[in-house]
Amino acid sequence: MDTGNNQTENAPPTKSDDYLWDGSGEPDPEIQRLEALLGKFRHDRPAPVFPEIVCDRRWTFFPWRMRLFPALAATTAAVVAIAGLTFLMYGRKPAPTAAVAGWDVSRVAGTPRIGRKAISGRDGTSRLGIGQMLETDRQSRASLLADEIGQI
Amino acid sequence: MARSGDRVDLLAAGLGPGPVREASASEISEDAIWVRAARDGDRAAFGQLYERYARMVHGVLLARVTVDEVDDLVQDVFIRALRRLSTLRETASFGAWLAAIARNVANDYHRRSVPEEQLTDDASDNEIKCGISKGDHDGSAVAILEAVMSLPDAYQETLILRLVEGMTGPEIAARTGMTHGSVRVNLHRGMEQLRAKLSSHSGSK
Repeated sequence: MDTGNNQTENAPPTKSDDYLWDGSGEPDPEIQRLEALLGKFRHDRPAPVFPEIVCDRRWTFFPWRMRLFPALAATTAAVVAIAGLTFLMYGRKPAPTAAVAGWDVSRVAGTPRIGRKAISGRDGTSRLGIGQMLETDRQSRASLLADEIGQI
Repeated sequence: MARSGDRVDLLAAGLGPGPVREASASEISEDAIWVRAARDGDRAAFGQLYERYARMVHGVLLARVTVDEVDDLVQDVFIRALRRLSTLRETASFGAWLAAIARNVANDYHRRSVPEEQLTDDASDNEIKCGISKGDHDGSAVAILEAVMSLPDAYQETLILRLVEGMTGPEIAARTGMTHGSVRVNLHRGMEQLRAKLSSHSGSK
């Protein structure tokens, strides 16, 4: 099916068509008749009053894709702000001591030590973690509460 | 050595006669100046672009929508172009850009008017496609326009620009951004097919 020629050039016209092409050469009576009949559909309106042209010079220095930049920057700032607030609200909470694996130590007498830290104060309790050492001198005593074993 | 067939090859390659090429080059630079001025808010410059391109836009639309709607849509095309002028990157290709807008406006028109057409049972397919309103126009002119509309799309547009709008082949090429060779081939083949249709139509009467 012949669909016309938009950009490619196929076989060129062989017959002289100068009048059809640019109005030069010998006039073709049939084309003249068609021009006279169809000429009544020709555009003949004067230019309308166009609305004010709003200059958009702000953007002439940027490629058109860069117009997305403000939206992108605002989105990034919002994400950073939300992340910062979340960190401030939840990020500084100390880890619960119960989560530390080990045994509960209660002071019975004197000042027993876990490493360098003395178990003292009102409650007199602490936690003996994995790899830590509980030291008692002659005056000190402590009781240990081990999971699944009981009091030592 | 040049033979008679070589001339057509030169035209197809866009190397047509000197004066035509010079005119096109100066028009392109004028277009670029007017586009830049219009972008800066110069309405008179945009008016110059309208004067130069209105017939092309009218022809492109006439190949696609009803005669009665074309004039309003021409204005729509230019107003849409005015609003989007800052997005045109190649100012020298204003014509091709404007022709593309005109084709889009025609497509939008058909999209909007589809439900109305579906409700109208008595409208023939041909009337919907070429959209010729027979009310105010001469019968033979309408019949010829209908014959043009029955040709392939590329031939319709080129023949309407030549026979209705009175543009020459080099003008059509300069305004639409098509090559001289394409326009010449479309005119020649379209005219051949139109002659055949019109002669068969008159023979059947």
